[in-house]
Amino acid sequence: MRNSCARIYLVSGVAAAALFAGTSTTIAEQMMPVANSDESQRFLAVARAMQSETPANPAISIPDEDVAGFYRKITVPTQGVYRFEAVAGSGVRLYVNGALAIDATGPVIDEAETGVTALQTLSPGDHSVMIEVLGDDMAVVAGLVFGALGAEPRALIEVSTDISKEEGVSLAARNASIVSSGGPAGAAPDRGTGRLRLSGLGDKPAFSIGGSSSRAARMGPAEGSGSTGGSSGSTPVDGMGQMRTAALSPPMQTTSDTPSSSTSTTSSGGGTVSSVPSVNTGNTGGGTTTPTTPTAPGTPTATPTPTPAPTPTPVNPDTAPTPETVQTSPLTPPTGVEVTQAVQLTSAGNINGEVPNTGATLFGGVMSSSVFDIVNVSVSGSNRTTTVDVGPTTGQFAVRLFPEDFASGNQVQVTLTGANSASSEVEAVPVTYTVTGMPAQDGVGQALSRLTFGATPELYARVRAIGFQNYVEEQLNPDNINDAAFNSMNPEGLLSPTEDNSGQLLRSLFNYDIAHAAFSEKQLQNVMGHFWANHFHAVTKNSSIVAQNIDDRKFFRDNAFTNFHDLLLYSARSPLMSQYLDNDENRYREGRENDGINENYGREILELSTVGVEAGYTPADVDMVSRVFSGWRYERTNPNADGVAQIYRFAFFPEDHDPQDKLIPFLNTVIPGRTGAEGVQEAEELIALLANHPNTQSRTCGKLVQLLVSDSPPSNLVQACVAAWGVNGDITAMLRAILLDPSYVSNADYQRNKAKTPFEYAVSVIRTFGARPSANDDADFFRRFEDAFTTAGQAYLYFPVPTGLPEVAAAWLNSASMVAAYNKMSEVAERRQDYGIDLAADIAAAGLETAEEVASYLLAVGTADQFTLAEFDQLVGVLKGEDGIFEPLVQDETAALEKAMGLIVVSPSFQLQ
Amino acid sequence: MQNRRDFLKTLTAAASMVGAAGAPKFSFAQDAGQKTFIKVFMRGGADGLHLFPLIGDPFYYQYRPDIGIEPPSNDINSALDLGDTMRGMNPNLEMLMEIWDAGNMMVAPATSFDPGNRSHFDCQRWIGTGQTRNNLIDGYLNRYMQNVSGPNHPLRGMVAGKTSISTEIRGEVKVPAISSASGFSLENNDFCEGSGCADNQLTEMMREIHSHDIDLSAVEGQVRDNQLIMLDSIAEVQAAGADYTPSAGGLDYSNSGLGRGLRLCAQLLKAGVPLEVAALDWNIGWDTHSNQISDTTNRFTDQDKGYHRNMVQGASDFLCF
Repeated sequence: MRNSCARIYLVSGVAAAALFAGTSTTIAEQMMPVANSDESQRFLAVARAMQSETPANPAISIPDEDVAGFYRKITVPTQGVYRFEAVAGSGVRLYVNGALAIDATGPVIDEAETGVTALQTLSPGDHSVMIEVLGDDMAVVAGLVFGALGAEPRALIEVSTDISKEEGVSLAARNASIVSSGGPAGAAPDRGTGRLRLSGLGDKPAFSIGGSSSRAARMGPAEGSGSTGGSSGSTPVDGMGQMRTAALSPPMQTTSDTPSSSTSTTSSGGGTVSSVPSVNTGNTGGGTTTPTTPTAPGTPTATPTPTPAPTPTPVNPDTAPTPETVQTSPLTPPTGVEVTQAVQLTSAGNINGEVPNTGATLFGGVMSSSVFDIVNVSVSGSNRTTTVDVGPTTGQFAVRLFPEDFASGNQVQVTLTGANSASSEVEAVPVTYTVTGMPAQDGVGQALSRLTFGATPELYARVRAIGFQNYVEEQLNPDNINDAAFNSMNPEGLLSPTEDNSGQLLRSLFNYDIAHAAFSEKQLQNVMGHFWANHFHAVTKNSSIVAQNIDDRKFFRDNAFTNFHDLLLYSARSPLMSQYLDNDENRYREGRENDGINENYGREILELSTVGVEAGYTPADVDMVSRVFSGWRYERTNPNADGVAQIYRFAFFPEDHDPQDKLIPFLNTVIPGRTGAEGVQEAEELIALLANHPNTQSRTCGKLVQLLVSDSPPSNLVQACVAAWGVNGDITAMLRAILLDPSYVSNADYQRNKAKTPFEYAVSVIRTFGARPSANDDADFFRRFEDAFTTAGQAYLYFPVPTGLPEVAAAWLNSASMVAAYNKMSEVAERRQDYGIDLAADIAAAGLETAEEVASYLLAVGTADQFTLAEFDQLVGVLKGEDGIFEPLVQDETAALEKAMGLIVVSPSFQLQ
Repeated sequence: MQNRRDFLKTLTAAASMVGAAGAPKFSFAQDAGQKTFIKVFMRGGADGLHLFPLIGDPFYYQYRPDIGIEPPSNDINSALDLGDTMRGMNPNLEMLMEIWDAGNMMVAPATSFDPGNRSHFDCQRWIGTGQTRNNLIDGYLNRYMQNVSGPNHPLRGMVAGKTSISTEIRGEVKVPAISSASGFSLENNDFCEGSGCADNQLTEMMREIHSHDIDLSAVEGQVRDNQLIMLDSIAEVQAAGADYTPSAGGLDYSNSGLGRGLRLCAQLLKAGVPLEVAALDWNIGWDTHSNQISDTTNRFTDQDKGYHRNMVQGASDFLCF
């Protein structure tokens, strides 16, 4: 195998610093020696020596005063990436600001190789260039080319001016001295015009140069690193294969002379060595002939991995500050993190480098997004390779890990190789990080999935910040929750409590419910309010008792954390329940024992509200319970009002009450019969008995656990709930018992194992995508969300069956429900402007730019950070579109974002909670 | 003056005449011998004695002094004559007479199971599972599909006209629920190419997402199975033509769940879909607990009363074609 064609040497200068505004101790980096040349070997030795002697500052290689050469000065107007090029094999070396940039002294091995190119990021002002010609033919100098990247290249000799050696050395030193004077670790950010120090350089070089030189330049393992693993050795994909095309202009290609023959395409066999960045495995063929590592040739530990150091920046803490690494949110990259490497992670899990093994987003940055506009990623464990974009504006990128990446072990090595989409020759030295996949046990996903109607980015950050337990306690005390923002939306204005038209009144109640679920901070209270209203399900049944729906649902929400007894008593007295289960027809008539007793409510208060059918009651029990409730009814409070909703309240009618003693066998109880107004006490006493019956406790707790934990309630949590029942069913205590049981957050089987009901689904769309009604919205906003769950079968204000609507996934995961709900939410996506959805603004505010960042963000919000590789890939594809470009900070990408929303709402993981 | 019964008879006659004309209004494309079982559940629990009154049983009138339906006579409120001295039919079900007269209808009275309990909901489930005191077993139609080989087709079984999977057909073999043929599609205009969204990139992406074999939890597996069934079924239903209209003497299906479901069954069968089992509901609020008769002269047939009107409508949906 031959060593290959053109090489590009990359040197990043101060320009990169500006990309990371304010932080700015960046870089100055480095040149790599040329493969297969004696000179390069010599240089390597020098480099190694320098490395060992001055680990903090190895990049500077001011030419020995003895080296023959002449100096030129170039002046650049603006900071940017500039290209130097020499004819391959012409025997020229070029030093820029004292650092070797091009070494064209080696033999031309590959016929295709015609030029040797270096990219330098230069700050505005003067720069020293030293040209060294090894041969006798000074004419080769004329072959040196220089120009801004993308601009017409010109002969270096024409655009530079002659300066003396002293001037040249001085200029180089001045540019370089900034680095030297910066001193070791913790050097203050230098805002001068010269180079900035690259922290951590002593541990490893940040850049790789194309070709075998990159291997040679690799230093040993990080200081203090105990790693013996090395990188995975997998070969990143060729950046040319899946890149965008607009990032760089043709001059990026390395063979200006014969662009058709060499170009930047990586040949598959022994071509560009730059395609094989991994170095730790020694010579594995493919034309790599240089030493695998300058410090310890042949060892398998050459990868400059910081492992197992958890911090994503592989720096020696003695020489550089450890960048902030703790993520406060899995959604967005950390801010204020200093990028000190050519390519590095800025955020990779917690302080210990631990990420959820259910999937996690790693964030990173590059120094120069114009040089490295893509990052090739390989992930050990799954041996997965991918390429992610670098934000052209932010210099950020995101790498998503998935459960399969941790399938073969908790420790996963992620190798990043900066690259350029326009040239496979451009490559940084691969850097490898080790992250440790741990079971997700912080409860954040549980909180957002079960205690709420869906995550919002803000809530995500908040729950992570205060922790699961604090969030639970906060939610259990809704009176202390500041809901000013929601109240300012005037939710009461949505209600039409006096509306005479029942359809319109109930629609207003749907809207009111949606608003609470979507926008109130009292999320758990609303979750539980829906639960209790469904447990004590009642709807208007061919009657004029309609407005009562509003009162009842308000009551169940406002009292969602009180006690079971009070809710049961309220339900039994509710005129809505009375007309629904016919207790208003339950009237005792003396002497006509059977006539007038309607058993419907008597049966259902046993079977559905309290003890359940397994409690062993008989028809005789049902009969007696029904008689206890005889005379419980309602009366209208606005009998003379026309054209407005009819209002009712509970009323007891002694004349319709059976005054006899009631023997209730299954309770082993006799309720003494009473006459007159005291007759009402019978049912109150019965309610107290039923509310604390063991079967009521286990059955109600079973439903609670089904709501909050699993469709098949784990018995230990049901028992914990029952144990907390106390007197009358202390709901707050029961919820604590369930939610704060250690297994609630630690048992992976409890997480993302439930499907959203259609109501939860529709509301979660509002929350995930930040939909909001406009200030003057006349409730049109809510229509499609209401349609989504009602047409899917969850029209709970109309559902005729007294069981209430089911909670389990099997009830809702069917094609009719899905088609109905998906189509409505697709309509919302298509009309996102009408719903106040502005994802472009959201992601800009979140500091995101690339398709991978945005896909991770949107999916993470929508799925509590658990989604699949296939979903992610499809979403990235949607964002990038047919042209493969997604640059929301550069061009209008709202159409792509709209499609992204359209895909997410039908994605499987979005259906889960 | 034409009363409602006359009107219904007119319609029935018209339907029968078309049938008598000999034009096959219905043709099975299935293999010879393959049958389709369409189960219609009168959800909520219809009062059998009210639908098929025991006109020959004096105890019937003794126990139902107010709501007993009189034996067949010229009174519009009397029972329909089934040619049986013991049992008649509720007058609102007259549209079923054509089926009865053709010998294609059977009444199986007083069927029950033992031991039952007094829970309406358990009883409904047990009817669906075919086993008492077992809420966990798959529905009997699903068990049939599991145990009897049949066409490998996404519409071998389905729920039609409603949005939930009936207990009868719920189970290991996933079937679609199709509320209405006309709305059974999934389109987002942002992903549509071609006329009528011929190239539906959204559903293609959904399939692509599901093509990756990953370790699925139970609920993820349910999402996957049902989304795939949904996608497959959409294609089949659309291929069968969403706008099928029967040629049944001017009769058409109602837009009730029953009507939509029966229309879909007919449409799929005419298109040659090998539909074997379907679960439908005829849900008109049978379980009223009271108030099934009108205060007017026509106590059992007053069409201003929804209960009666809905019975007529439902009976009219059982089209012969």
